[in-house]
Amino acid sequence: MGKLIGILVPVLALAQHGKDDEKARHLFMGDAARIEAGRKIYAGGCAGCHGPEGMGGRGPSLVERGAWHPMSDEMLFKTIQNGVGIMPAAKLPEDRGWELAAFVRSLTAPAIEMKAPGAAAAGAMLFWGRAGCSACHRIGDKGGFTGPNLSNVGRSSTLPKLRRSILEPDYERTPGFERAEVVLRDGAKLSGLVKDRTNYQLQLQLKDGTLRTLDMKQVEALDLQSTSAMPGDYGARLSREEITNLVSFLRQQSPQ
Amino acid sequence: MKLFLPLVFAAALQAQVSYEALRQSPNENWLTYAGDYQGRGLSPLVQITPDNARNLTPKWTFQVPGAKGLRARPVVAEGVMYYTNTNAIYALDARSGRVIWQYNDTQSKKEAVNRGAAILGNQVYFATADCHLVSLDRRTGGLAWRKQYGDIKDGVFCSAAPVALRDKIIVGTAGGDEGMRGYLAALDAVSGKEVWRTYTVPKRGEPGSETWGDYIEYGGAATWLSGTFDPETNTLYWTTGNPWPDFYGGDRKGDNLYSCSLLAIDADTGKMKWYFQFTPGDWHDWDAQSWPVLVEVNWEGKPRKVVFHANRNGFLYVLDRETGRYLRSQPLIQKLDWAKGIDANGRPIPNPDKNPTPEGNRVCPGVRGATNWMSQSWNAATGLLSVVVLEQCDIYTSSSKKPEPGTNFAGGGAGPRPNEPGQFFVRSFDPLTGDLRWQYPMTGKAEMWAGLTGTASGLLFSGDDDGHLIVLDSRTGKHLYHYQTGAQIYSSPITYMVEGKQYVTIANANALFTFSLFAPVESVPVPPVKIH
Repeated sequence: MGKLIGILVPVLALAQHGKDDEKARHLFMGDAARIEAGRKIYAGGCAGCHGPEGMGGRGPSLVERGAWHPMSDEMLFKTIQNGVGIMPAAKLPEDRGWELAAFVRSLTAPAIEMKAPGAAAAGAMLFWGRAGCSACHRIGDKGGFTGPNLSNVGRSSTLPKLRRSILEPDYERTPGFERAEVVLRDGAKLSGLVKDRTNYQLQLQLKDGTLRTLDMKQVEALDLQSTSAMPGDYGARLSREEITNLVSFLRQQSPQ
Repeated sequence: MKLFLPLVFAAALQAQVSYEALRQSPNENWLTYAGDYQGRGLSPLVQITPDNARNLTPKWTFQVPGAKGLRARPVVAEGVMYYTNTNAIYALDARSGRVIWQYNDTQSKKEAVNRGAAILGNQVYFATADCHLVSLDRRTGGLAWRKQYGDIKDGVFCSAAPVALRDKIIVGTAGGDEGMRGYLAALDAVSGKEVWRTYTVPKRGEPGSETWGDYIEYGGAATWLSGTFDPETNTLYWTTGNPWPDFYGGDRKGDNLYSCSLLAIDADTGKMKWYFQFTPGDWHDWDAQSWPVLVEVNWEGKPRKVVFHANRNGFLYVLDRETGRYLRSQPLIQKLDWAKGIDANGRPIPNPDKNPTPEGNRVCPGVRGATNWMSQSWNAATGLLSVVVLEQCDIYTSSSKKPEPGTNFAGGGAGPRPNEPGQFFVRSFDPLTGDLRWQYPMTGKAEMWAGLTGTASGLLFSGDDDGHLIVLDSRTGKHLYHYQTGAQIYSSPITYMVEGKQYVTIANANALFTFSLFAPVESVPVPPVKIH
């Protein structure tokens, strides 16, 4: 336990002091080929403790950011190479070490900061057209309200999360999008998304974006859908290339 | 899987917030930072009265994540409260304080206090500390855009609540204590494109530049408090901050236009219609950041549009709103020794030897001013302007060291003697005659920044200097209610109504507290929830 604290302290201390230093950004960061190479190194060693997807296990999660600001590239590289607390030193050749650092960074970096293959324009056509994404998701002033607003998803999500949320929407559901049917004591029926719910109150967003704030004592019955409304078969409906194009489009979404 | 029911309630609860709606605020809603455009600080709500205020009871608390010294005042539209903190905004159920959505701006390169949000149409706007105006869909928190209107490399940062007009969002700038050039700007409400920008310090060679010295490029005159607005004449009334360096004016001999001033600005063009400078060539950091309260009064037998301004320099001014002409003034405080008074043109008559010195010079009022950016309340029915004032003297020191912008250099400093702390009061004046009708003294360490909100039912809500929400009778100053929030208060309260119930909200340093009249809690049956 004492050693675990040793791991956490440097991370938090860094988080308190300044931003990710752009000057210190290593060339491999965001490079798809280097990240892929890093992924293989990761799978061969690190995954045992940090989990196959970096979600954590015996070791801490590398996906959930513990603090507002990430570690600098240099600190990440040194932590990998030299170890920290009970984590052993990787002692990889320098380029391999940087490849591994690039992979670890890709787990948490905003998608827009990472290089990714694919044709964004083709992805946009899928989003607004055949894939049907915009029926539920909104970007800018177009699209639906029944799924998370994706206007800033390139900044608020990571590349692995983007890909996974298309292929496995139920893996990690965004809070505030649980579907509900509500019957009120006066007989009225409502259908919408649960933005927040306690035993006393319910905040329901209707299909057109309208918000209804209700007291639970008004509620006769509440039926909730625990699964994501997003179809789980995009892996079959879209080709690998199309998924890549869609991710490429989504990762660019960060309005200025 | 069960098919979902079609939409039954077609009537949209969240109608677009129109410019007309903004003009009618406050009513059940509190749609602007000041409540209304004119900065009058008076709600028409009458459910809570002097007779029943003792039955107020806390309804909910929202601990604002990471908050340290909250300055913001919420806005409320149709049961949803929007509240800002540094680089973050929360949409809350105004009845329960539960979070509907939140947005954290992870791109901002600076952290600083934030004073609030603005709403127009379907959007809610706030400024990041690094001067990006953020536009979000207020139904979902979806980001429409973030447009830069200032660069922290120029010594500027941003804290003011934006002001939404018909089609523009007006933003201000902060940073005048470290050397920068102040301005306010208008951004298109839809596209975020900058429509105009008006600097508050002239460029070298421009008219007014002769009132400065060598450091005109870093003159300050920041615009860090939202202005007020007269929709009838389309005029913004915006105050400006101190000249830089704050406490040493030896290198900027002259009036230092347009610092420590009130500017009347054409909202379409940004052109200055007139200015009135309260403290020419200021050496005491007496920003003019206190609200220009826009009212119509009977002046010498005729209706007249005037502006009340309770200034940090210790005087309460009445100006003609159309021309900026000085009409009258009076002291807000008793501890006032830097000036003998105000002359017929509105210019202070300074006492000699009241500037800061290297050894330290005791001057009243103190650097925090006789009042500051906390809200005031004007009640036309009683003819009273209520102001939070601070009776305090400080020891002001100065340094003639060569000023270096961006280095925390203010040319000196100020603070009270440990054995002479200040004291806050709520004071209600007839601003047309100067009569002080009543005052409510506070205990405490003279550390708060709480302001006032009045109601048509005859109440004043405020924070006190000990961390209480307090409620006073606005006609007499009689105490009616208090509640200890557990931390110091640095913001002004608001009041609003949802589903027939009136609420009062105030932020202390860390959290929002909301109150309403006592009603017994009815038992809520365990909800019949089915999860499929």
